[in-house]
Amino acid sequence: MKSKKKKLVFALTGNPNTGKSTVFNALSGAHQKIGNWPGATVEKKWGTLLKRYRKDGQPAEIVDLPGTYSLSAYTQEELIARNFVVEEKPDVVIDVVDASNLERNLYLAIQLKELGVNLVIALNMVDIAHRRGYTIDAKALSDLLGCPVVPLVADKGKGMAELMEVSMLAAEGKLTARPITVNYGKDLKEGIDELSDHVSRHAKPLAKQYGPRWIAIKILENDAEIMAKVNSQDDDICDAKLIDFAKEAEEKLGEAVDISIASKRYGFINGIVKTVLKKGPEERIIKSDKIDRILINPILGIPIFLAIMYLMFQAVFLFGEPLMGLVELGIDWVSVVVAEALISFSAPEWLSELILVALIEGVGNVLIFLPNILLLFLGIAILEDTGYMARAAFVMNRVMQKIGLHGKSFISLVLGFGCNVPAIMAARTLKNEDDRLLTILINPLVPCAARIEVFVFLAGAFFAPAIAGQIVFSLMLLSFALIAIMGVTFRKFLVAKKRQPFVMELPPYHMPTFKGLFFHMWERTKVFVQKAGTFIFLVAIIMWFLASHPQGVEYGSATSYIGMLGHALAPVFEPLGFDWKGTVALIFGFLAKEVVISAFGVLYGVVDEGSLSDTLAMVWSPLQAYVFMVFILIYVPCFATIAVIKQETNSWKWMLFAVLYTTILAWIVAFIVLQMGTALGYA
Amino acid sequence: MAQMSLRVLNEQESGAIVKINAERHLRKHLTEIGFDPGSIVTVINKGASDLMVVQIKGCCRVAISTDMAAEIIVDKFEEPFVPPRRGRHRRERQCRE
Repeated sequence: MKSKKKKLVFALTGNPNTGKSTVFNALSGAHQKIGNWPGATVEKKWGTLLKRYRKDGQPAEIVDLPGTYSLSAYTQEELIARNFVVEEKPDVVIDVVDASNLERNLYLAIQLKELGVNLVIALNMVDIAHRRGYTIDAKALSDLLGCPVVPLVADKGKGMAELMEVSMLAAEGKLTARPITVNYGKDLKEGIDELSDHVSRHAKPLAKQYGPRWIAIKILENDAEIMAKVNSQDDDICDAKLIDFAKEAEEKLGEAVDISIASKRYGFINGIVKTVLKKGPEERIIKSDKIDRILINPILGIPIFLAIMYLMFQAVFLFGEPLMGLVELGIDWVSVVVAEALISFSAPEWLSELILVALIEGVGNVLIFLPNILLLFLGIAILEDTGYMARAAFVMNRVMQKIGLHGKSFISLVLGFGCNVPAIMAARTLKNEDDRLLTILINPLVPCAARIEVFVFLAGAFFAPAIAGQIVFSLMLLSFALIAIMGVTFRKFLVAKKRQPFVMELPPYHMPTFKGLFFHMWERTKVFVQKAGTFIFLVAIIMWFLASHPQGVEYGSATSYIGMLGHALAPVFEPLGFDWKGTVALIFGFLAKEVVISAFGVLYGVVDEGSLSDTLAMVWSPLQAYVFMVFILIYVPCFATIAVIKQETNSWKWMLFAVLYTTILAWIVAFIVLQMGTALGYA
Repeated sequence: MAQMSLRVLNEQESGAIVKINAERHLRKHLTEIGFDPGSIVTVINKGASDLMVVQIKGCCRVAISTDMAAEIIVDKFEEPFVPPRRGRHRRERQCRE
């Protein structure tokens, strides 16, 4: 029994698409933290349990484990979930189970039971199951699984209080959990008994941690991680011997042991499901299938996808515009108030300049775009929560295959619209190394939110509102074309031709809830704002320093450090028509793309007179602006992206390759666009 | 009982999974997400040329490449699949065994 003072830890597990994050959000509210699992690129979310669910005010933490189908180590997510459950020993593991999809979901539950964790089943989406005509006997399920089962409609917040009440009781050890034993059949049972006997004698600490029977099963399943662990602890057991055990069992069974074990688990589950689940008449083709007839139709699918993306971007700019105006007013107001305050405190000039120029202007120029970022993330959240994202990957698979990528690469690429850093990390879902490498190398070509932000700003400054959206969309199309060209090229010259087969669940279509969308959007925006708040601020200060020194130079003039740097590099960019100020902006774009705008703010010394857009519109022609956008679209991804490419490919060579190919490609394409534009008379 | 690859099944046709010809880890993963031997798979949507949508475990929709489907061997059910009472198929399966 736990002492009252100790912080309780609840871990959430579940298959993907079971509403696990809804449960997590409902339990932790806004008190969430997002990070990475140590040594992994899988997102880690944890939070504090809301006060209303606590017992006697005892603090409790909720950890949202990655969504998995199983606890084998097939994916990194599975390994993380398993290691957390075993090593961190949470007080209670709450497994979120989709009631409308009981059989498949119980596979994970059974594995958790086998692991001997203190399990509570959250039987979610009972409303959907009910609508399909299923009745589930929660009491019987609880008896058969030997753990509490709480029906839930997490979307509507129904059953959350009961879930936590039961989980608290479980944490206090007031519920009697009964272990379950899956019948693996006579032949396997002998192997399991023999092995678990051996393990409990020769690898005691391990046997204590996981339970000898579980270890034995994992050895038979040929689980590389567990076998390595056994080898490291056991004096009398070695790989060869473990494999012998598995081979022997295989010969007896006449089929692969791991398949047989998985099969037997499903057999066990089947028995449970037969008892607890009563099915009414099911529609022959459920609604989702009907919608799929249209949305993943081989002819209509891609046009519909493009139309949806187009509408999304149009809507973002349409609704974003007035909101941006408001943010701008707010920043101006702050700027005026702070300026007055600085005068009244008679602050030194350098300090006023630092605060007004670097902080308020520099960061403010980035924050202005927050409404657009929010709306874009909202769009992506809608695509994800409705279940359309998986369909998009489906319809795009054929195209992706053609351009040398994998259907799943598409998801990584789409995430790139938010930020290339998580997008590149998401490429880990690709199991084949070549597919993964290509997806990583191509990813910087996807315009991230920061770049889109620069496009929106420049398009707004140089083009009429009516066509600004189309200008940005044309850049999207250009990026798609480049992705295709580079994909084919890389597939041809860089890697082997073989690919990973496509297997992906299509979750049923689902009406998203406002709360769910909000959380989704908020999560991403938070990460973005944190970046803007720290990194960009830092860069803005460095820029301010470089632009105002050596002492006494006119701000951002040719004689400042920044001017010298720009002049030195300008010849390289001269054929593209960029002056030294444009060059400087590009140099800073290497640190973070958002900074390009604040760089203009600093370079043109726009603090209070007129808006930055008006100033820019006077010095550049629309064609020049467009060429500049093209260059920004393609050239060196930002610092963080480069770092993550190094991390994910674990190779300086590929990192350098990514930097070089994007920059050279940017120069070439920008040059072509400039020549074509001039020839067409747009100069 | 006719054994064939999942790929050749038409929409609405079902079969019981016999085996998966794939590399060990992939085979295990497929088994765990519901392509375990003996369970019923139904073809839902075969519109696309590269991928097909199949139903496993009574209701999950999984998109799978046709190349992969070619490596999944099933026992095709002779009569068209009638979803309401899946118990019947279970019985059939047991009889076979």
